[in-house]
Amino acid sequence: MPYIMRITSDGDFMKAINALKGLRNMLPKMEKEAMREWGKVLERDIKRSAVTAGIKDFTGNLQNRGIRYEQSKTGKIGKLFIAQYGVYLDAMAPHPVYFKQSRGNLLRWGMQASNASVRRKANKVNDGESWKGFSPLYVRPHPFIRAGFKRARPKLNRIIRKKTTQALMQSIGGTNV
Amino acid sequence: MFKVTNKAKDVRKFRDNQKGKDIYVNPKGFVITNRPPEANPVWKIELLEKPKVKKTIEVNEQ
Repeated sequence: MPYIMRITSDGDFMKAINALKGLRNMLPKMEKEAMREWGKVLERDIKRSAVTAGIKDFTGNLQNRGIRYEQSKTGKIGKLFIAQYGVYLDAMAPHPVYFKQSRGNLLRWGMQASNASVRRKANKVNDGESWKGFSPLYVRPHPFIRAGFKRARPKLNRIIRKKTTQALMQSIGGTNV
Repeated sequence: MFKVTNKAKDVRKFRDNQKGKDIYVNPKGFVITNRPPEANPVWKIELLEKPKVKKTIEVNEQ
């Protein structure tokens, strides 16, 4: 992303050269800070996107540590961690799932579902009836990762611009640019 | 804080009056709550809070 900067000085060339040297040292630091700030924005937007996609925080922890941004202290590399089941929720193929007594979490969800038919099936299987007598539940993907990234990406420009200005102001000692 | 464990082989629920809703617990699973149900063959209740110990300062008189 190219930026054009016009730096004016009051005729003191040494002062201008020192300011440019300071800028050269300051920019990588500000770049890391900008990435760290944008990482937080990205994490928040993907969590919001998960809520919008209809993923409830029923058994997992997507709203806590399930989605998190981590940046190395020294390097410029930042990583967005998403729990494996979050990735599956994002891009799984639609498929049928049967209520079984061994699937405790699914049964627990089904017993509290808003759909009366699902609730009835879950209660009957939980009471000991065979799962073969009931039709399956069809599950579908809930894409949220790409939508969250699309939400967060336009905010990166603003953050970088802000940090670049900060670096510039610090390098020239707070004078006009 | 109490740890409430479901000892049955199916999903069971109990009423939490503080939250005002039913809590469903997986078979052999547990939840941590402030208002546990009565202990019976299904529910196993354990107290999680440790008893507070007063700090004592020992003074060596020489």
